[in-house]
Amino acid sequence: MDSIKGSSWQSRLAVVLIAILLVALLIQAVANPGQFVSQLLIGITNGAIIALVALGYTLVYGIIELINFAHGDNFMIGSFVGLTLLAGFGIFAPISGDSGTFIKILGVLLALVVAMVVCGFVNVAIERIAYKPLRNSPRLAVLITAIGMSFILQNIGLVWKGPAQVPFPELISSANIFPGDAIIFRWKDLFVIAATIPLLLGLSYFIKNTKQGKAMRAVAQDKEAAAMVGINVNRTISITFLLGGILAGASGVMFGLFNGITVFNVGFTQGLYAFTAAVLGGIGNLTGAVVGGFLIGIIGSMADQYIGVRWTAIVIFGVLVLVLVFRPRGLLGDRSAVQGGGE
Amino acid sequence: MRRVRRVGMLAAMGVALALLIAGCGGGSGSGDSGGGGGDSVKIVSDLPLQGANRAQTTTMVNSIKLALEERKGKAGDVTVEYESLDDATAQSGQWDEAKCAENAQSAAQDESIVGWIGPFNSGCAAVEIPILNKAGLGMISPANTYIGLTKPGGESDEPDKYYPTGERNYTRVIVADDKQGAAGAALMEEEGLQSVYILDDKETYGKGLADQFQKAAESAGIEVIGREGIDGSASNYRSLMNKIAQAQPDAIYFGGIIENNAAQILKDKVGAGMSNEDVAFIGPDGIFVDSLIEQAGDASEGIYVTFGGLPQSELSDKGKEFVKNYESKYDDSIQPYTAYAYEAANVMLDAIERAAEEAGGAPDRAAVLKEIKATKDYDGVLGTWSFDEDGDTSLTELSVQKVEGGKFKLDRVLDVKDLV
Amino acid sequence: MVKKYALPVVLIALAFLFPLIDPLLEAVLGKSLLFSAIVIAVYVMLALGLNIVIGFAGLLDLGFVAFYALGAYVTGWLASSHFKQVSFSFLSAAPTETVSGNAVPGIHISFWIILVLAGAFTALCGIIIGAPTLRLRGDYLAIVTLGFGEIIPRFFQNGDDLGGFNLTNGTIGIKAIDSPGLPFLPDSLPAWQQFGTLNLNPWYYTILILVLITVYINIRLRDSRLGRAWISVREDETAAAAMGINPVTTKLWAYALGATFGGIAGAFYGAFIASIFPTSFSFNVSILVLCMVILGGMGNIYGVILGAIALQGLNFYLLPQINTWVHRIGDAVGSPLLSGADIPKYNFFIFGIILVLMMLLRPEGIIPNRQRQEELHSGDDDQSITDAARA
Repeated sequence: MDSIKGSSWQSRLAVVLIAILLVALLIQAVANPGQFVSQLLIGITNGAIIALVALGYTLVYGIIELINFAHGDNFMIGSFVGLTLLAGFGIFAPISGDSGTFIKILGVLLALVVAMVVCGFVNVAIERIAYKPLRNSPRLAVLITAIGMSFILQNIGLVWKGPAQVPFPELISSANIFPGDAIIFRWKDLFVIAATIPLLLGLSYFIKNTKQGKAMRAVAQDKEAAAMVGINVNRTISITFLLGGILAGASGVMFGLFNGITVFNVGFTQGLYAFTAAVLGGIGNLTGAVVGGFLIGIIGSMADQYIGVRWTAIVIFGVLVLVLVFRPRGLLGDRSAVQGGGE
Repeated sequence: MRRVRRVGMLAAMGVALALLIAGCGGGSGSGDSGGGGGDSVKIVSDLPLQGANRAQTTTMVNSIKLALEERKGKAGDVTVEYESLDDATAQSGQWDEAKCAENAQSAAQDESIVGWIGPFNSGCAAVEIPILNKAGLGMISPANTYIGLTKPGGESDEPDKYYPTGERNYTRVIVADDKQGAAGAALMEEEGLQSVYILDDKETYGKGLADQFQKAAESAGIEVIGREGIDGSASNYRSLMNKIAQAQPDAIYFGGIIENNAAQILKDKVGAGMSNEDVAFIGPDGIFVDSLIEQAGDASEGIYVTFGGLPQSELSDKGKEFVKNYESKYDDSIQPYTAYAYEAANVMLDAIERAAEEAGGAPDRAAVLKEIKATKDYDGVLGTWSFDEDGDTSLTELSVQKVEGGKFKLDRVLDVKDLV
Repeated sequence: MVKKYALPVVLIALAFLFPLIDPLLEAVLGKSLLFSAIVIAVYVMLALGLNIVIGFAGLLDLGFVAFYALGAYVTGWLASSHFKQVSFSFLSAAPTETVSGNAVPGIHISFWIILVLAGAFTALCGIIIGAPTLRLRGDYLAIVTLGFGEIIPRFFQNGDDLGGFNLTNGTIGIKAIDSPGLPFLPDSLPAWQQFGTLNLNPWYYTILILVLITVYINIRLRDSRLGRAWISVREDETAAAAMGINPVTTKLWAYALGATFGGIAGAFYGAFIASIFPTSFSFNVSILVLCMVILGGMGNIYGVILGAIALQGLNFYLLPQINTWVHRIGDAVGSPLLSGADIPKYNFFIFGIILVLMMLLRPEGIIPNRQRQEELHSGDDDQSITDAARA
């Protein structure tokens, strides 16, 4: 904290930088409001999926301080599970764009639920096999097993669906909700937002209000003390991984339905951005991960529009570096939500 | 010094492991012992056999094997051994410049190798050509299209900087970017399209091609509204397509390969209100794969794809026979570069055969190289063609495919002879 | 004392004799190992550089590839015809005139000077990147380095048109880089006058000497005042600061020195491959080098070297061979399943399994750092889940 106090010129510089950026954006927004709003909406929907994946990183980090590199690949597994269900594997006919509305809704729900369950258990299994035995080892040892698990999951994806991109059935309409072309907001976009909000609310309720959620917060704060008051630390960590996996599964299926395509290494890039989002918001901080996710989505679409696509990744990582230089614990500070306060 | 002892133990284990490995690998030899004395030569192919290009490259290896089997493993009276090298590493999942250099370097030193089929990536070719050039080993690439490898048009000191000996040793059976870029521009002219937005996938192939297309389009008087390099691993391109829609181009040109998310680009293009009827989409042979249609679905209906040669359905009798033979022998489906690899293998084997006849036994590298470069009026699966003095194919007819009813259909044939 | 030096001396002697042993190995294995050895040695150097940052100073760096890339591009800029606007040659082993008698375009500086320049340049970059970010603790620093590791290769990829100036030649990369050489040597040693692609010995000895210098500096650093300062900052930054150690300067030194070795390794690699592509410097490389350091045993120089040899050997040599062996075994026992097995498809899987297993079996690395080990296990109890080695 002393660093911030001792360097008020940095905060001033940051404020000036942000002000210049906002003014520049505002000028663009006034010049062409329709375009601006469309890009903003695109950014928000892309950000929603990033936010869901980012939550998985932040949950795990909050509780065992591990950058779970395998999380992005678990997300990929989620999209593959959803695809396999929707494309049909003998039990029922593939659900396509021509099916009835009821069947479609049922199919999407089923795919979501199954992917959530599968990914939840995959995540728990990964923790049991690769992370738990190393709890007393140097922290970086776990990082390497996480990288190893990431390779393994990627290879499973590669063998499962092959090296090429695979299409998702078009179950949700790409038609614009609003009349005309001025502002584009499609049913697909609505679906992503509509699916993200209940998941976020549910997660927030679980952590804040249930007994298990309280246990999670306690373990995140102090494992030994938590164990002393009778909390089963191992079970709590498993449940955290289960939650992370559930979110990864849901976002994997949503990603596929939304973009219409998935591929075995999709988890790598998406995971990298999601992880960046988690850090941007303050790793360990649930609200921070969501804010970071939306922010990255929006920065991405704004950079695409006003700077140029080839610079977008540089802009995103540049923002990350700048934010951490000015606010070393992320935008919202780390671990406040899980732990109920800063470190 | 406990640590030292432990290090010693580990070293001993290492040696033991090495011996074990040596034991396993024993007797591998270089494979040139069989085949009766000097009447045996070896050819190699160098392709990335891991990662996203795998589906493509395994069919290429198969087609080379097929070509060899059809000749019963012989070129004339000389037995030909074939080894498939891999220039990718597991960890990078694609071609690796160090692996390319190593393969070239070890082939350069193995005198029994007289021919080199490959590589797949133009970047890899830039690493390998100078090494193999010094070794005088003849190369036939089935897939490199970057123009600077054989002729001026890229950087100012290309292509000479790849050939330190001054003697050319590299040829390719695929048409280079300049012809395909010109075909794209010619197609736009024929269709009366006046402005274009150019995208590339920031890889050597895609960017080089987009550069050549841009050159051709500008000299044809087509307005280039914008140029962007996309990230092939992005989740979607909606904001980009939204931006392009505002610019209202007549057409979008994509220089890149299907692996870099071409289908997603199509989906987002149509999704942003630019149907393929209003805004034409033109892509290169890098996206001429049936799985593009499968991946992009309805969004692929009506797109144009240029291709340096004729598609399978229009192939010569030889080509059709190749498709039949391949499919009866291998399970995987034919990819765009499969036929090129087959053609490259046959050109190589013919050259060895001619060189062997002249030498009356196993030919040396120089003789094979001379015969490769002398390939003239070759009647193969791609048509009838020759190598020009740069080592490029003389084919100037490119075909344009259009997706209709969920299938690539031959739309027209363009002759770019006068354009390049 | 004799015992203490016996093993290193034997290993070094073996390393120097390796090019003589290699033909024997080739006869047995059917494949020369010299090229692989050079590539592995480059990674040994990278791992030793990263070891200073992670092993000694305890700073998790996920973007080490940035320095490797910068070093390689220094070679590209200073030893090729990339900057065609100028024509400048200085002690270069490459010809200074083209065939037609004109001066060669571009900058051509002696490789040996470039090595020094690359080291200095990357050290400077390390300081520039490190200075504003080293106040960050633990994983946040890791993320900032990851950010730089992502930015720099992308910058090189887009750097062909920076306001009209072509800095990096973009995706196509810088090619036809001059090979180094020792032009003052007698004509009886042509391979040494200008290193070629057909004789790898000069390359091998160059990188071997670079690695040995790196090892020597690593050992000296570890036992120096700075080395002890690193350990104290690693273990407890606040306590170290209270003892009068300036944590920021100490960390900056680690960053700069680590970056130097990364840069020199990159400079050598650029000259060795003679081509540089921005796509070679992906996040994967950072991860691979990180795995080498941790797998070998953070902070232990022997361990890190072994880790680098093991992983790069696996990646570069062993995995490609497994396919051949399995097919051969399949042919021998007449099992079509084995002889037709498609191993490259599972390479990622094998790599991942090996990483996980190695870490589960030896969580502190193949050869753990004894000091760290003792720190870890003093007062250990099974209930504790605290991260004792917290960076």
